[in-house]
Amino acid sequence: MANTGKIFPRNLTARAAYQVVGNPDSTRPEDAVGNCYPGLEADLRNLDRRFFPGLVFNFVARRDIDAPYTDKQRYGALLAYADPWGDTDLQPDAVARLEERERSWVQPLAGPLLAALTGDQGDSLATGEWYIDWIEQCGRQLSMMQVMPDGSKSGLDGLFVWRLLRGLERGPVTIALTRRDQPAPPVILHGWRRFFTNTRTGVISEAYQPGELTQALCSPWQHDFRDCSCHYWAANRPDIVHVAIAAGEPVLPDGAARDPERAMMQVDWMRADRAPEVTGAALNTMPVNRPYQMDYYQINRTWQDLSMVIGNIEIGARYVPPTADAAEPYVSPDELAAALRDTMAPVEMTLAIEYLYAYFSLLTPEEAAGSPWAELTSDVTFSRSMLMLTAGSEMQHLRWTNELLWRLAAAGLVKDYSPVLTPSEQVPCRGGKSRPRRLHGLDEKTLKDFIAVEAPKGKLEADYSRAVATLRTATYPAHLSELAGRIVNDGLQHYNRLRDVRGVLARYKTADPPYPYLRELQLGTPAQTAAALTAYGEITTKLSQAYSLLARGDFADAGRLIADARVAMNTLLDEGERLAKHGVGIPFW
Amino acid sequence: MRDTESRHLRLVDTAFGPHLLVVDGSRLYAIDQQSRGEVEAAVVEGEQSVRELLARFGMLPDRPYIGAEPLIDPPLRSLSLAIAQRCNLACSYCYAQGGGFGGEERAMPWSVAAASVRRLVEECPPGERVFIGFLGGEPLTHRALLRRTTEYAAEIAGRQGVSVGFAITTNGTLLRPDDASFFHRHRFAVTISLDGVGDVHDRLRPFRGGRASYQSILDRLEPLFQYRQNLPVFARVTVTPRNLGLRETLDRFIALGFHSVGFSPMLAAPNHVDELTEPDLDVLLGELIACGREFERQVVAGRHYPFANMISAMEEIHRGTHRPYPCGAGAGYFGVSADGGLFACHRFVDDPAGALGHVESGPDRDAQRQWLAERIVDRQEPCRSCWARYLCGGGCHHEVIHRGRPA
Repeated sequence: MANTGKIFPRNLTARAAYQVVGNPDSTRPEDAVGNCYPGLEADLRNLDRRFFPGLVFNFVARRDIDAPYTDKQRYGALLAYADPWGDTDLQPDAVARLEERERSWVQPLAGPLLAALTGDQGDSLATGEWYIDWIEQCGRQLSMMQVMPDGSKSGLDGLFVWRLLRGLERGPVTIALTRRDQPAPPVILHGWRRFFTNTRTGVISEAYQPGELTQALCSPWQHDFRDCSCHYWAANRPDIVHVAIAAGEPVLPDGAARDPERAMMQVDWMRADRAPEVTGAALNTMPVNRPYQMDYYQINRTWQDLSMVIGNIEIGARYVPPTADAAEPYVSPDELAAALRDTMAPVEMTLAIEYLYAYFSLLTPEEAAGSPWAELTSDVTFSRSMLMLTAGSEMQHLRWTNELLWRLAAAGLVKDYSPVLTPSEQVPCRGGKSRPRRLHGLDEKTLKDFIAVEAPKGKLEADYSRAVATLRTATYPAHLSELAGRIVNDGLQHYNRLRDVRGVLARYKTADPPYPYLRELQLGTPAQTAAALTAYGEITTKLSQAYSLLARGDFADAGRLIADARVAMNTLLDEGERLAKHGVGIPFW
Repeated sequence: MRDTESRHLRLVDTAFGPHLLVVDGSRLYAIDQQSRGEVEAAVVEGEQSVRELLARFGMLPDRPYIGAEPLIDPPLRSLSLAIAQRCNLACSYCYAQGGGFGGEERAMPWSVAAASVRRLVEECPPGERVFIGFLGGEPLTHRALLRRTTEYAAEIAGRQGVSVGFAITTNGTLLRPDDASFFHRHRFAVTISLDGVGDVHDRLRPFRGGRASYQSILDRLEPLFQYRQNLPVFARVTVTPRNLGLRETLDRFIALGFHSVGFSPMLAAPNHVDELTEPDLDVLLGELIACGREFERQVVAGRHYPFANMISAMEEIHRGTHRPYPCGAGAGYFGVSADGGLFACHRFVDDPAGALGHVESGPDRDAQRQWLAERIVDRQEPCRSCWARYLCGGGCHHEVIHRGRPA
């Protein structure tokens, strides 16, 4: 016997679990991206084109969903060919092998269907353009034609036809085919919706030829890479990326360039001219970048020059993973819990509120629309969105710090848990110092403060890094360190987002009057802002109750309270926006 | 030479080269001699090496196929109804002790049968399938209830879009020609208890007065065999020290026209009469192997040879069947006593060891959770370290609880 270390899976579980040597996990069917888009690993239309045993269809659709019906005779399920002898599911021996409960109703259909397709009806289907006219199942008939607004008839778009066929249940189906290129009597066939997989083994029907199910799979070395518009490229085909870090260039802990200009600049990943000295920032939309991208002939020849991308950054000659900082663990669960309870959770809450307040201080895109500053609308849209994302993320951190606390209590490591929903009075800033909390519009100082608290190696990050280091030790329940780790990673993202905001707002530095993107916002009185403060109170009360319930494992009741808190959050957002339009800020504290 | 095995794997040398059964997921691989050598070495080195080897072979899944946690609140899908806790035979070893399960003989009232059917069908979502088995005692002593229950189940299941399968296990002595058409109409699976040919059977399964039953049963099977195409009729042989000639029985029963023939060892009888002893079990194993060899010979020659034990073993190995329990008893399957008590299976009827609720109130979920937690194979000895534990599931609960694991 050959001495090659070979292993062959033999039974069904072994075959299902078998991983072909050299194929990564992402090649397994359960990891495949699939819907009805050509190029994906599983374009499900490849399955449904054989939905009816003995026949093979193609789904003819418009170019895209908004395109006009220019060629009404062409759309729908077009018969590619009839294949009665080649279709294994139609053969008597395959029908005989079905489980009794299927065989009992398939057998009476199979013989006549095979006879029809190999007889006169099959003959007539051999010439001309045949389309499905209607389908019928369980006494319900669906037409594959539609009446246009001008009263004319058109074939239903192939995508819609596919969607209807996808909805068929496993069971008897009757279909009618009509010839569209010249008059002919319709062909009506009684069959069944194919069993796509064997009911016992789960193996895909043998009617599908090797390669048939993946026949539309995109290839980087074809034009697909350039023409891809589904944004689903399975192995990551980014649109815009940060350029590779040069050797010796200073970087942030997540690998991004420390130079904000460099860190901010995003380039077109498929740019044709790849020389570093000529590479400029990508333009705003895909179509305007198009002329500068590799053309068809280039992508065929040089697709392998495209860079690998990790964490949105092109990788140059050699990838060096960022190093993790070693942090000193807290000495005891009580010390960790005290830091979470007295510092981290309250700071998260203060930051969420400060960011929210600053968000309300920015003009809405509608308000910015009339400005002489051409980019103001898109700049406030961007800045608002970044602030809201960051505020939301801080709220999530507040929940996670609470979760860390209640999980420590559940594990018996600390005595008990009570929800922490009180904002801190101080916020850490650079050099180990702190500043008083502050409700203020997003002027330069505020933005500087925000960036300072989120900065890598800042006090907040250091606290969480210590929490991660603590939770990694064996005393603590598994996975808690991952929760704390996510907060650390998010902190870097907040930092980058806020720096991006500073980047886009930098162009207004010389504006006169200053801050054309800001509203005139003054802190309101409790009476002016009663509705907003009531909603805020409702949020904290409901969340407090919900966290207590979550700590006890009562997810259903907690879920209802969290849903209530969300409703109150929406009220708060609406009220905050309404007040800010009148120059009134909410006095959260 | 000692077989190479551990709780994770077993090496099997075949005429087609070495094969490796990976216990988790019952996955079977053909391997070459080099890999075989590595497996042997790893087993000698111990558990850690075995795990490393499996990881290197790409056979260690991210998540085990069978977790450590017991099944919790599985849906009810199958009931067997002890519609008649009475019998006209007097089998020496009967687990039901003549039908009454150690108590008074009695028959199931309609109210209990109807409640059982409703409980089963109403808990089942449309499109799924439930099973109703009729057992006893001898279920055909209560034919009217059997038919009424069947028709009722077919009707309410049909209304609810649930499909229902029926099965009966009978001693065959009371079969009538119209039973055959009834069973055919409702697509029953019929199992006839027969313990051997002629005298062999008669000594183990006589009528209550002691009269022989074999020929009387055979005479009554003919109408069933007329429907052979669509009405499967199985022979079930309970193996005791007095009918260990399995090869002969198998061939004779196959020749009679049974759909398949299966053997079940008698390990635990309430009165300990006719239980197999350890030397008997050696004989049984030899006979089963002989039947298996004949199966191989016949199948290789292209002939059908319906030796049920072998066919189901082959199917399970092919599919990679892996299960933490031997059967659905006390999980999705219960036996219902004549009084409506729910028990872990038909054998546990009226046995406090397997009492798990009542058809009116449904399964007692606390008792069921405890049952499932205790019965999981990974908590059984010596099963938890056995390579075959997920193929076998730990053996019949009833026998294990009352006799242990002598086999």
